[in-house]
Amino acid sequence: MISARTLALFFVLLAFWLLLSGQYNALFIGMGVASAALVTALTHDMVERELGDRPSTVRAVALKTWWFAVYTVWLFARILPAGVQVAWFVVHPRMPIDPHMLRFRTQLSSPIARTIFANSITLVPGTMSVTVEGDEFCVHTMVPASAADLISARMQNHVGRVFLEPPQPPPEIVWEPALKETAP
Amino acid sequence: MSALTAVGAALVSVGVAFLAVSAVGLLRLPDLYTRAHGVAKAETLGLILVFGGLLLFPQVDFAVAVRLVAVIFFSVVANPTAVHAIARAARREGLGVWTREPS
Repeated sequence: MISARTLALFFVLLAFWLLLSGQYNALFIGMGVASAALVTALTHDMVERELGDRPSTVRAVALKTWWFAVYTVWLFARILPAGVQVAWFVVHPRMPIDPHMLRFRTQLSSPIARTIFANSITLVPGTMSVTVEGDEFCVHTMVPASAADLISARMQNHVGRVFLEPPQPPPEIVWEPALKETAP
Repeated sequence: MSALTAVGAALVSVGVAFLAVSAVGLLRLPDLYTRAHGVAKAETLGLILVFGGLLLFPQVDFAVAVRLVAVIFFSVVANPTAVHAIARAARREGLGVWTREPS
């Protein structure tokens, strides 16, 4: 039985092929259909597994789409300051960086949510995901202050909302090396 | 040159500047992790600006625009993924973090 999701995957791949090739004769369309079918056959198991259960209601689909749009705008808005900040560190004569590694556990449950979360960590200013093992994330920061959105769980929740996961409490953070206590 | 083309040219120029900074960062920053930051962010932003700027040029028709947007989309997905793969490999090999003061 071919699911709606498998069909959608096939047609998205085919549309992408047609847009990239720009050739609309039998040979190119035939090769496109063959390629899209091959890729669909190879990956649909993985797509089904990683995307998890289908949203059951129209309302859930609309909510997910809305929160994905919010997430996309938020992410692109964060890429600009991220680039500017790292450029500032690079061109500054003394390079005012104070790198640390930090570890914490996330409550995001699906693999695709964790993947998107790891990708987001790398694109926002000053943080980069290094390892993801199960629910434990290891993140490198240029300056400790960059981790504010991770410590407050704001970033986790931005991703979690797309998958209709409940908000998380701020995680416990392990710094490596330990943060020095700064006098107030 | 239309105003739109001028904006596009400006975006491409700023994008190239970020790509250059990313290359400088690769040389200047102290360790693999910090260098990976430079590539992940400055280069992704540089690519977005260069290809976003090209979108505004009058020679770009719909078919070309779709390809430029596809380049932006795949950069935003693939660049952090590649950087993550490198940083993870380094971490698994036990590479320590460069720190401001020796601990």
